Amino acid sequence: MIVYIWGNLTSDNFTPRRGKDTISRPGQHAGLSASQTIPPGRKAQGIDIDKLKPPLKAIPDNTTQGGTPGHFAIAPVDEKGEVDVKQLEAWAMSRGAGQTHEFTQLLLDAVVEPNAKGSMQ
Amino acid sequence: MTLATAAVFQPVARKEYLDRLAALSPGPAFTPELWTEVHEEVQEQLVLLEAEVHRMVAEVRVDAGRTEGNRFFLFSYRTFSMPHSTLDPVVAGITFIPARQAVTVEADVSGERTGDWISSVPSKTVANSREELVAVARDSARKLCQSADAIAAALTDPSRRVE
Repeated sequence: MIVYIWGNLTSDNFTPRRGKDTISRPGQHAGLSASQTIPPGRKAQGIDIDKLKPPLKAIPDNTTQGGTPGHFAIAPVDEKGEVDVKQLEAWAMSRGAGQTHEFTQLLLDAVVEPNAKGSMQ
Repeated sequence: MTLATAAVFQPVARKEYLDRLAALSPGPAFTPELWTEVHEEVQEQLVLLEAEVHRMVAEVRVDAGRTEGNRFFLFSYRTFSMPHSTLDPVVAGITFIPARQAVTVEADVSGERTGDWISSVPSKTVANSREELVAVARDSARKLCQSADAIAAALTDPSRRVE
């Protein structure tokens, strides 16, 4: 399955934001946001979630608990499949440091549709 | 009646003129060194874009970077952002994507997180040589340098605020 990270292939855009992407919401796990759709006229990066290597996993929202249909959170998970908050925080801490974190690279390696375009309706 | 005969020529080991076979190579050798050269060429051109945007928006922060992945050789970029602002940063970048023993070069200016298109350069496919690849990279980067006005406008456009 392909999900899209909206925006560019920059290292920062492929790294979670501390205090934003590291916090879970009703029906939505903490993690980097991805969606099954691209807004019309926008640019996005298509990720094959089957190509994500451990510990990264794409977790779909639970729409019965307030999540958004088609939305996924990409985050490192532990052996039980739960979001590993410590690893997620450490990943987020690397943002803006000028270095590509190993999880950021795992995600960049799972890109199968670089620079996908949202079709105009 | 005579039997048909077939001339059989045994292969002869020769090492002379092997360099001529290089002319038959299906495109440039995609080595890490080549991508570093291409990245440096792109960044050398984007310095001019940075200077021009700085002239128009003095407080802009500019960061240079590069990424790579299994399905793209290189994304070489500069990110323009407004400090202490929720406006989406603007990225001027060039992506080099494999395409059947060739490389597709895509250059554009767009929002880092929203992906809103600000300007773009028609994509090109390069198949012939290292020199052509570097030349297309240089040309695409120079064309991106014409986007300073659009970048300055986007960096002060309140409709581009993100969460």
